[in-house]
Amino acid sequence: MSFINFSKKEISFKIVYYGPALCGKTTNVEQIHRTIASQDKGELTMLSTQQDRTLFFDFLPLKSDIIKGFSSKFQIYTVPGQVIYNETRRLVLRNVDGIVFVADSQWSKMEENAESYANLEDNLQKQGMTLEKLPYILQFNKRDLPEVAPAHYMDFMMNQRTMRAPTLEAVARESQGVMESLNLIAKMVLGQFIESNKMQSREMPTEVVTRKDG
Amino acid sequence: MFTSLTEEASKKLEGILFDLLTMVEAEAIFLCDRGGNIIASKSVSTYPHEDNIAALAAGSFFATLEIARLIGESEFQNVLHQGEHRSVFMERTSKDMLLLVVFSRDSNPGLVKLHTRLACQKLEEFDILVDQCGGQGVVSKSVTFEMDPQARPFKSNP
Ligand SMILES: Nc1nc2c(ncn2[C@@H]2O[C@H](COP(=O)(O)OP(=O)(O)O)[C@@H](O)[C@H]2O)c(=O)[nH]1
Ligand SMILES: [Mg+2]
Repeated sequence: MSFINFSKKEISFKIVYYGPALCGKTTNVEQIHRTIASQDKGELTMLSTQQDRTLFFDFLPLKSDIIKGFSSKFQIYTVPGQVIYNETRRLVLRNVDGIVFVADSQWSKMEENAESYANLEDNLQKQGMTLEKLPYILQFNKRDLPEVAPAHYMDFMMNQRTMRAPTLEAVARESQGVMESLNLIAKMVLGQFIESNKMQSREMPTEVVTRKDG
Repeated sequence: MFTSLTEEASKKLEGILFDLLTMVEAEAIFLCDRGGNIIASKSVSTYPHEDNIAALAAGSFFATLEIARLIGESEFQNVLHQGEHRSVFMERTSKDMLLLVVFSRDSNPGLVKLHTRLACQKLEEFDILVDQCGGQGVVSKSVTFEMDPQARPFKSNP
């Protein structure tokens, strides 16, 4: 859920990188942190276990001036992929505005991809949300490896909604497809935000938003 | 869906935070929502990594609420992390937000707790925030947001 602060002229959005364990979510965020100009990024926080796996979440705050007159903050999160950390995933999904689902392209990981995708739908549903209404994209990662499924196969398996999600191929470790994914999801989130705001302004001529009774 | 904060509301919130800051001689105070957004903040000098602190605080605090549930407690109202030089006190407000106070060892933890609680009550009385309009947040109609459809939100370092 985006948050607008009129006094700071600032809008915040939350983007979550979701997907099975070791599919490359943390690598995506590390590459973003490495790639983006320093005035547009904050510090990268990573909470990992000793085996180098994400325990709680990774977090990277970004800034963009793409909306006129406002500073757009994008709060980038990853979730831990391991099955046992579902509480943490739910926590991180709270108020999410857009999702990058990172799928591992290796044949051996297709089942884990499907499980993680189902888990995402389930967790969203428990918060009264659904992928129908939420901007999301599918990133097919690790295209550099030998035993990978063809993209059209993954698309066929994972992209079965009426509103098909945009898909991107990536080699996150080499930073291929990483900024493309980020810019795409950011544009989708911004687009939805601007559209819903236009609609609201037409329908409800209210000056809103502050209640202070009591 | 979005929430928003008008300038007027923002000023009032910051007023409450500022009073608390001076009262307990804290270093920094953040009001965060469940999602880890900073709604308002006040600090003695510019505070680095505000967003990271808010994201982690919201995550860890709402994780402790889940611990509470699992041990059969309805909730933990607050949490104190005490360090050698600096400590952090977090208290939940009724609107499911989090007031986070960073203070040094020169401040008295008991006093911090007391006044943070009082500040939370002020925030509640006010009911200041933030309309969540279940899926249909509304912004003042005089504001329209525009972006250049060709532009990329994020540029790579040259
Ligand atoms: N070959 C290859 N390995 C990758 C790629 N992206 C990530 N990895 C590796 O996969 C492992 C898990 O990545 P990580 O980002 O920690 O996964 P996470 O669990 O989703 O956060 C690491 O060893 C990465 O270096 C990729 O595109 N190709
Ligand atoms: Mg990770």
